[in-house]
Amino acid sequence: MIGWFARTLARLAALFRGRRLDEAVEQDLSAHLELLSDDLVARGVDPAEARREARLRMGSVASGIDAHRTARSFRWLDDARRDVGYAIRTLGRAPGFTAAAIATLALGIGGVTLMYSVIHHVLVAPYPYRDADRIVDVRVRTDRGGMHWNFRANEFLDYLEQSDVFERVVGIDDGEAHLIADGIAENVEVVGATSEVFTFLGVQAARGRSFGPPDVQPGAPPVAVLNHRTWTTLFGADPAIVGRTVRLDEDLRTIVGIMPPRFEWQDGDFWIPLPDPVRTAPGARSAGTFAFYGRLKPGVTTEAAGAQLTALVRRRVSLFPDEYRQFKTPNFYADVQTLVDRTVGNFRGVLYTLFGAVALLLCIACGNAANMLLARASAREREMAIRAALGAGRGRLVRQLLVESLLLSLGGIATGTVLAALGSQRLQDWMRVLDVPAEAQLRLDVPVLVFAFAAGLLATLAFGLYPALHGARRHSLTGVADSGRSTAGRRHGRVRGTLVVAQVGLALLLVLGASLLIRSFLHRLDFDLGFDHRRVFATRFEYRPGLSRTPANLQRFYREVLDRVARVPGVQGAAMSSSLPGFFARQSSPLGVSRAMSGEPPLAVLTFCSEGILDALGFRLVAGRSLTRSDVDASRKVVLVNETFAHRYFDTENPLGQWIRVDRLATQRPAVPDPIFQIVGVVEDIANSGITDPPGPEVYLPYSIPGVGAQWLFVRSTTAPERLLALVREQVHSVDPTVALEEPGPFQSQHPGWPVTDEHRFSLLVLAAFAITGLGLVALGVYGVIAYTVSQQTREFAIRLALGGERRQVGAQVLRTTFWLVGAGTLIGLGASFATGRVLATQLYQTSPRDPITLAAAVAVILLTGAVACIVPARRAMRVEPAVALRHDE
Amino acid sequence: MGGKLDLLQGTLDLMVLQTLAALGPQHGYGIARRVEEVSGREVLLNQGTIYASLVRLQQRRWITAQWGTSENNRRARYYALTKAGRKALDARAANWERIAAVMARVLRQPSEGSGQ
Repeated sequence: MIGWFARTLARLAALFRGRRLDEAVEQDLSAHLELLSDDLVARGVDPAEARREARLRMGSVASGIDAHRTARSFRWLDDARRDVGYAIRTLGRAPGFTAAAIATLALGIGGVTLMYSVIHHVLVAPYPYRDADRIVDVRVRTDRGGMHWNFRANEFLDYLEQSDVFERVVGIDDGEAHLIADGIAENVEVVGATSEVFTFLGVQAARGRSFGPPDVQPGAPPVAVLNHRTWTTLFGADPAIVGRTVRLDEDLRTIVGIMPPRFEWQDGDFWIPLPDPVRTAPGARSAGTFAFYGRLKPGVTTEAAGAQLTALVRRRVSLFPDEYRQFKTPNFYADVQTLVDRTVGNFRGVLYTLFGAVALLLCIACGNAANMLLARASAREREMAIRAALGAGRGRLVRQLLVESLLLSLGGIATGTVLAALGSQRLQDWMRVLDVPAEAQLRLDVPVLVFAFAAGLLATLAFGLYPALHGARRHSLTGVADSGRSTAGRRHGRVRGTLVVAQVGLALLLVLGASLLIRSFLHRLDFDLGFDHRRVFATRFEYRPGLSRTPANLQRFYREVLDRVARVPGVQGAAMSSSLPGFFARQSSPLGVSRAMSGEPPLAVLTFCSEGILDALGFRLVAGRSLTRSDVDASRKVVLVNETFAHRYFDTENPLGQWIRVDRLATQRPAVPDPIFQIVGVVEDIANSGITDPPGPEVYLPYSIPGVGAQWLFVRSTTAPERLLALVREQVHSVDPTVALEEPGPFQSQHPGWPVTDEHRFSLLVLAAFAITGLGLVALGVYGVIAYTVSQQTREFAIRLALGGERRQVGAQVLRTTFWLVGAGTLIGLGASFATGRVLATQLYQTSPRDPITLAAAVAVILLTGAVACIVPARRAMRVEPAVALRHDE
Repeated sequence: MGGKLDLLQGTLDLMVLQTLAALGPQHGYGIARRVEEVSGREVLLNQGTIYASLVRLQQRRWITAQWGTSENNRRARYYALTKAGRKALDARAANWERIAAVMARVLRQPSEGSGQ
């Protein structure tokens, strides 16, 4: 055994000592020869004859050395080393080719690696929790779309005790809370969890400790565990925070620990222990509720768990019908889903589509690499013919060529991995705003690198095998004399043409996909709020609980905040308002209008706002005057109306100075007696009946009118809304440090139904990047083949020109060749697009995957790319000088 | 069978070890000559291949090599058995003898129906 081990080591070592070992055996063999002939001479043989005889008996020196080599090392490894050395020298002599091939492959391999990394870290293994793929949550659904997941203790315990599919279960009750700590007031996410949650997730605190069962014993001090991200952003990563006390709503809690980064369970900023659920008498309502999270036993599917839970739910519904009366249906079922499925939803389809797209890109890249190798093969026919003539077998030549391809692939893998690393840094920023688990983190870890390697090896076969077999086919010695102007050259021209046709087809698929997404995106963007929402920042306020605020002191608070925010550099306007423009659920009221009207009583949307609303949103006054500061401070009964209001209710009359009666204000509490307002101005329409619907009549009133109020702060600024946040928060805190901003962010982020999401932008940009890269590669491919064809036909062109042909015809012929290639590819791509259209259809908005305009645009882009790619070769063909070309050829 | 014997895989190594055990340190030519002599010139030996066997045995640390001078004043590498080589030889020789004995017994059985 030791002998075998020593020998293996020695054989490996021999790989690197080949030359010295060769010398040693040569010495041995020559000593052998001398000793043998000495012996023969001693036996009376003539010395010259003895040498001949000795050589005969010993066998040839070469075969002796060969046997020695086989014995002393691993033959195949030794050969591989030789092949690699040779390939490195060969590729090194053609640096342009090598760089182009590696760059092409790097784009393809880097692309698939990046997308694989996204899929792996978002869909397959996004969570840092133990056995996260078996963690599920349980929701009760009805056939009428009702849903229920915050279970009372009895219901929670029934599901826990009567099921046998779970290994372990935790209850979760999350909500927002108002945090106050050392000059910080923030609206934070507080996740209550039963005490074993950290054991359940298999993660412990990075600093301090997490909580456990002792923390829910009677009399235990109230504790909280802090999120690492929140620790960094809110507490400046101050390690002394552990042990300090903070106020969460009404409760004072001691921070006992900080979780490691990426621990984002239920998106909590804080985790606090929930007492275990305790049974109450049936019908009696326990205080807390629990969302049900469990880890399935190994081998239990979500379907099996769902079936069992459904049976339990139905039994409960029949036992305690009162608890389920609100759902107004007898049909219930349990919905059991894994964490990933719950979070990712439709985005999964987007990611798979993008992966498909990038796989197409890799195919195009492989096509290009194959094309380049074939072009090179024709230049190397002489070399191959010589090596074959010197006795290299076909297998040996194929292996040699494949090793070259493999080296190119390795270069592609290395460069591609770097590209993927850069790309994943960019994408990581996106990840925060997409529908992906907050825990997801893109990195190039072992599974991703293994994938990159596998993709590279597969690519080697895809692009290298045919050129290798082709390049190593039997070369007649005529190949040595002739430089490859043979029928074989023509045949592989056809192969290259076919490759380009395939590439064009694939690129058309990519371009078409990207164009469809662009068109769909434009459809989504096809709405106009009447003002530029992109520069508007919006937030609401959250006040310290238990502190009652009178309308008067709220008004003072708003006034001070508005004044301070207005002074922030870059701010163009700031205002308070009762509602979000474009949102459906808004107050409206029947009106009395001073102008006599027949039919239905006039209706209008009511917006209660401060005087700066026009500047804050960025829309214009059309006639009259705006609201003023003193209108608001004195709650004067003046209003602005929008243009639709003016046209609909006053037609051609001038609405300025007219009166309206806002009936709703008379019936609300506190009632506004005699709610008659004078119209002082007319403003532009902005959206007020949903984002895409045309605006209806609208009235703007001072928010200081008793019994109404404002909740939204709008700030328009040249500063990006994301950056404005810190500035606004600072101003608000300088007015009142206990007030928190509630869900602050860009205007569009406030709309739950905003039609353009970051997911759309993500898939659009990524697919467009793939399509552009694909187009670039195809342009290279077309260029390569056309340039090659032109160089093959130089003699033909020269003859035609010499016989009086026109240069224009020569150029036209090159164009025709290009057109046939690109046209054939386009047809194939169109055919394929009908098959793949369904994949994309789910991601399109008001756009058919066979939309003729988009199809035409994509085809035009492809044809144009082909045309651009053939310009240079076509010009070269037209400039052929017959005399030079024909002489050169002889 | 008039031709010479083809060597079974591995038997040459054993012959070399036994030769070194019998002769003490010896150069490649000496080993080859001895193998041919002892085998009654029945072994077909392309003498060059002896060196492949020698490198295998060296890599297993069963023999060592050292430059020396032959009786007729030629410089040549002398190969010598190591302790591990001695052990390996004993084990393999015993094994070989068992196989040979078994083969002999098996081949000596009378074959049915071959009488005719």
